[in-house]
Amino acid sequence: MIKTHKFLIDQYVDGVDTVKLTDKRNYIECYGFDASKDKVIDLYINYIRLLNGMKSQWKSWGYLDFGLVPVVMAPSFIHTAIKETIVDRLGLLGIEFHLLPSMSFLTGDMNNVVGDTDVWVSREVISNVMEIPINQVTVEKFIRWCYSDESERYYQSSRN
Amino acid sequence: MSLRDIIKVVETDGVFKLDDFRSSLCTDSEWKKFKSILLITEDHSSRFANTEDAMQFLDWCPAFKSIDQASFEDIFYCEKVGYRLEGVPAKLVFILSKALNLYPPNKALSLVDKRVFQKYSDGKNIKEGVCIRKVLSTICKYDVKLLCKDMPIVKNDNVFEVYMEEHDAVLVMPEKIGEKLYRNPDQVKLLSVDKEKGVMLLDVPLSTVLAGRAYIDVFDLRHVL
Repeated sequence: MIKTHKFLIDQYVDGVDTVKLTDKRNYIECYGFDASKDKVIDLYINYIRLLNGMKSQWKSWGYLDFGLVPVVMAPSFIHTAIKETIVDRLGLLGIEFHLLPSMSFLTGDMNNVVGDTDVWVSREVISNVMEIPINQVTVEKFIRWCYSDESERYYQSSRN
Repeated sequence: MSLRDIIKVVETDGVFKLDDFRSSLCTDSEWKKFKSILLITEDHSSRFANTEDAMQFLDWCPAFKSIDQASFEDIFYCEKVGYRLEGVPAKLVFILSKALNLYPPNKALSLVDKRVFQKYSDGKNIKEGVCIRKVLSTICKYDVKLLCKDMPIVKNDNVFEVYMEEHDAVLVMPEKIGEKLYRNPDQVKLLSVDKEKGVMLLDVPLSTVLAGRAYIDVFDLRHVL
């Protein structure tokens, strides 16, 4: 099991953190997360970065080769909370998404690993709404954009 | 590219030319060689099972560098899917198989990015006389029916697929729900989508289970019965 401090491997110090949450999707231990102080979305961003840094260990590419990116593929213990907020936001912005069985890059298991669906969005759709080249699309950029003023402007202009 | 455009590409037959792409499709003898190297050590087979990335695999197992590099990716995906279709890139078969594990053919096509189809329909990638519809039928092991203007509802295997033009989306219906609509295809245009109620026929919701919310795909009714 990989041990992390808020999904940051280099900040984990053995024996210091006592609060442990276990991500059953990729089997990663997350120490030190304090729900009263830390933002769940920041924890999720750390998780995305961690998984991106472990690409050479991925056993499956999931649906990336369909041209989709996993916008919600969160640690098992916060998956539903993250999913609800992001799906609401995508719905409001009118961005098409696909609900697909949850999977794990690190174990290669594609069979609904957290008992709920993941949310995948077309890389091209993201490129169009964010107005950035397709090869610059990342999940982290997109999630930050969803909660930015820019997406608010996109929302206003799409309503007009 | 709408689903209709994708289907046009998928149905196109005989316009492809082999040209330079054939050189990068593998032959049976190359694939046999790959298999023999795979069996040399257990490490090779476990590494192979643990990645979907051909180049990553090559990095891990340099013994495979003795194989023709131009066709290496094709051999890798042939081994992944377990068979080889003459004149068809194995990566395409791999991607389509993955999509078909989730959905029936038309819905599966709607999931795959248009650029994947553009890549394989640029006039040189698939053998002349082979169309992607035939590839789909081979993978599914039945004659796949694609949605078109004259056929807005089709039956594939034991589900119905309906094209909802307004949403450019494919609705999947289980037999019991789709049967009546299949007999009256004119009613397809009476289907609509409500944010709260999901897909409706006239004003009758076909599924009310959190349709459009977080948990289920509004266009997939296979799980509502």
